[in-house]
Amino acid sequence: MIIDCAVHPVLEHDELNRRIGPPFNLRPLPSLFGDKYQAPFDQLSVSVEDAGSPAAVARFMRDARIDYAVLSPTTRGYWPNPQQADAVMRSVNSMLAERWLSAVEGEGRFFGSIRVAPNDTDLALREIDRWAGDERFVQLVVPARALAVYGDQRFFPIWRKAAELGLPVFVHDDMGTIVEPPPSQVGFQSFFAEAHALRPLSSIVHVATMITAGVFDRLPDLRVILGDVSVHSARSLLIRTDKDWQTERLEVPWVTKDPTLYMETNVRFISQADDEISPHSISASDTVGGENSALVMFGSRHPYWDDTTPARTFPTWNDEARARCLAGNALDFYPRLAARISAEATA
Amino acid sequence: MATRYVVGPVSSYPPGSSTIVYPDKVKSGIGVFNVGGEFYALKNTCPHMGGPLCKGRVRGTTEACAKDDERLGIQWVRDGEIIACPWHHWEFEIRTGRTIFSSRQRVRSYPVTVEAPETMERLKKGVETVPVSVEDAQIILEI
Repeated sequence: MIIDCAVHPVLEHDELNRRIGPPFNLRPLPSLFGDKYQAPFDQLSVSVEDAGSPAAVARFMRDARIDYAVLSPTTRGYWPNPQQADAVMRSVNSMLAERWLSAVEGEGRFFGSIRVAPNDTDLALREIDRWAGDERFVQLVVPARALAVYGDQRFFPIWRKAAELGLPVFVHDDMGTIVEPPPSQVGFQSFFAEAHALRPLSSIVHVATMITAGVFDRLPDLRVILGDVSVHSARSLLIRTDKDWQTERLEVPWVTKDPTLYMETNVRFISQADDEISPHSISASDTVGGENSALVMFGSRHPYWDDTTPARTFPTWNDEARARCLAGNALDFYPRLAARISAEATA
Repeated sequence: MATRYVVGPVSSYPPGSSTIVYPDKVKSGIGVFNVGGEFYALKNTCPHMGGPLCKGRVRGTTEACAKDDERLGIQWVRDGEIIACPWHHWEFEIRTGRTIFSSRQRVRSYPVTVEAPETMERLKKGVETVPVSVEDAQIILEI
């Protein structure tokens, strides 16, 4: 079995604008995919029509031998106006449910994501409540670009609700943003090559702050999926917190174990482009924060230009390790997905 | 065979005070602490990186408030019961030599007794240093 945890369907532009409604559609909103500036080439690997067609995505899955896909539309990251952000998320989620999760071409192989805008915690909770009863939605998606680090207390009610509902939180860098592209810690990058290569940094900041803020100690059932960070880049940064946490514990006494140990219990990583070339990827096992093969979940990133296939993902691993990456870890990490697949198996 | 070492008269080390002694057998020194009227002794060597642990600060430590699982809270607890190494601020319980966080590493500790003047007279020949005074009870380390 192969489960693709990162497919980004493109929602039909005119319909989405109609759904978003006035006053936010008086000027058509930009399309929700692709880059606003910078990228010197098209962002999609297929035509916009195919990227927006459930039949075409189902065909891509068949060709790549993918059995199930978790769909997460990109929504241009952080929207400054919280009311507009909420209108966009409501429309995106409705459209995903009606046009994709209900599409006959999907043959029951599509799972959905509830996109929420974390600008306003109350609005985000309301949007989660709208969809929580629909078991086809298996995760929340929040943008990597945020007003504040996700360890911040203002976001905690969102994480608590996600943990209660068995919805992993997928942190995704949409790349294209409504506001300026995210700055680095030392200012703005100049080139697409920089923004694209350095995108893991924002999600690492989020997960490191969630660990030090004790989010996982307070919500042991919370699961976080990083959509743009490879497990070895996460290790190389998070291990810095391991080195001196015994000293720094004084200000964060709720942290009870080596920070990287939270990776094993609470965090998973979508397979990345650097997994395909990194010397750390040759081996399925590693020492810090658990084995590679236990922490990585396959994601094709279809229909984006840097997408991949199961065949190209960790080809040097043995069958057992590849099976964990291609399906086993997702079954362990997504309770709703596992429940539906096991119900289908017994039906 | 254990060596006895006379630290000094009890009256010189009121609760909250400490000293470091340097017996021949333990050249790096041994810290002796009065915590709430009881004496404890720890080797002056941090198990982390070998720092002079007992030259660090005697203080309390922080604890997460568990009153409300939604809100983070921090409180100062066990004031005077913790020694923090001056090198990397690793914290140890003075009473046990154990770390605050879960770890197998711990500081070597030594038995300390307080002996009455008459006992001191009997022990006098076997101890390493001559007591300053036999008028008062003495703090004795067993090394």
